[in-house]
Amino acid sequence: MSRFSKRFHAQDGAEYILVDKDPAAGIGTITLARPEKLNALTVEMREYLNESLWRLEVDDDVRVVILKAQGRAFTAGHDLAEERTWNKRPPGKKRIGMTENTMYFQDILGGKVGYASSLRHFSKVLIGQVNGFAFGGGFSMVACACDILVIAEEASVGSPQVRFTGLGSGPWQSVGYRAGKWIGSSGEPMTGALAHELGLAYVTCPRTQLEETTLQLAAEIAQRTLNDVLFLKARFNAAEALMGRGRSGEGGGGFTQRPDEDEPNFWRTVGEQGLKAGLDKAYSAAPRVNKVLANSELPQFQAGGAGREHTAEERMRDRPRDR
Amino acid sequence: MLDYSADGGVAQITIADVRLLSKHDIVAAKDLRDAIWEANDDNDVKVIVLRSDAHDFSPRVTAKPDDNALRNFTAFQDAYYGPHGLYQSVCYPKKVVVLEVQGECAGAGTLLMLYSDIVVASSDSTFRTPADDLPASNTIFPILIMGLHRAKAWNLAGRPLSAQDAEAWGVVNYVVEREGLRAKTAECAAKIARMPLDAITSTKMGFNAVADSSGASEDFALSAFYAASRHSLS
Repeated sequence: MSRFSKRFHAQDGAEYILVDKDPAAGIGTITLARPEKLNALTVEMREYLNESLWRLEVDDDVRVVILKAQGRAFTAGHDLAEERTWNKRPPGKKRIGMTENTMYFQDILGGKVGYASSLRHFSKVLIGQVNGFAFGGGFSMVACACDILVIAEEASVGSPQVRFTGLGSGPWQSVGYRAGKWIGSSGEPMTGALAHELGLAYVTCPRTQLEETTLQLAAEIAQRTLNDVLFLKARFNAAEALMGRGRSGEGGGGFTQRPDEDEPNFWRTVGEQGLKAGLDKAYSAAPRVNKVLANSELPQFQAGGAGREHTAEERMRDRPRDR
Repeated sequence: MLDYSADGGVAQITIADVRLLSKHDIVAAKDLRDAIWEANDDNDVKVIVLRSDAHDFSPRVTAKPDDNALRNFTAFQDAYYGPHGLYQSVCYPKKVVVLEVQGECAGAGTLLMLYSDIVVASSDSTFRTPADDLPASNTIFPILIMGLHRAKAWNLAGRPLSAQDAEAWGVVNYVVEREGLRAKTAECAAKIARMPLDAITSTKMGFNAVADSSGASEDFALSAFYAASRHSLS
């Protein structure tokens, strides 16, 4: 019996999470393979990713793992339409129960055995090969959890979801106190070049050279013995524990469930009209997002609501009444 | 082993051979620690300058974890990583520690660099991660100084850091040509020495508290365990 088998099957995520290894090189590869949805992570994908990481941890052939993605995005984060389903109030209930909430946000997502925790506490070297868009949980929980990032100059990464969820302390340790506070306060995305300048990414290069550059770095690290790798990573995992990293994450699910009118509004719009419409409606910093994304291949945000705060009347009009 | 002098609020400690520290030489560690303690306890001293006259500040020593040191945990911990040890004496004094680095910096030299308050480096300096050679080294300080991802990349990729990258990453305060190194260090030390002693003490106590609340002391307390763990994996 596998985890959550009464709710879903992790194996259903195998179609979109491709795992491979080169034993001679000591390098494992996990590829997010849902390019048509910008590699948005369903619950099944997250759990299969979780299980894949566990398998690679105990595979002595592997010393370094590259996490990469197909298509033009790294990952758009969690599948928002699905997230809306999980967040739905059960029939006859006044609100989502704490147990249901904890299953989603802690057990599956950011708790001690959730997939984000498995990424963050991976016992071997995890290199993120960020080719493009890394957004929401795809930024804070996936990209930031990798030990070393190799990022395309053209990439765009960030956490616009801070409007609803706040930002954990993790990125602070990578980009510094001031930049971390700016990311958490504004939700503005960064280009790959800026992520490198701030220290989040170790290497940046044109997208055309990304694969080769990442592989070269992975091969260099894989020259280390397995014991070297395990020891060095154990030291960092211990240091992060001593520094208290993860404490804010453990409470994240509870914080996320604040009855902010913006949040259900956002999920509802995403579910009904798609991500672009949800962002247009809810994310008032859209013009700045467009500025950063101007040279990317991503669709631009163009809805009428972009660039200004919603009026009180609009907020009242859009306020969901079924929750 | 070392030369000590104090004048104008600045104590100068010149280390003859930093490689002895990389080899876990107990006497060398205690000599340097005692000199730092002397400066720390002298109310006429505000700044402690550490330097070496060698061409390279701390060339790499490829000795593996020291069997002798590990056989005697108490002496190893006491001389190097414990509360009375060399490295915590560099981290936690109430005076400002300024380190001068030239050329190759590896092993114990890199630890002195990470634990000092201010670093002045020559433009031909390179900094090798201490993790490969000294598994007991503290991991909290690299994270505090350069940020988590850069600290991981430096340690895991194992590529030495150039003086220019070290400056860009905030690892060193000043990079100057080798000929100007001594003068730049003297200028920094003189500037700090003009501060009131109590101001220096207050500032240092504040920074020390930040390091401790970030887990630095706990990581030091686990040092011998880390060394033993690495040794058992060899």
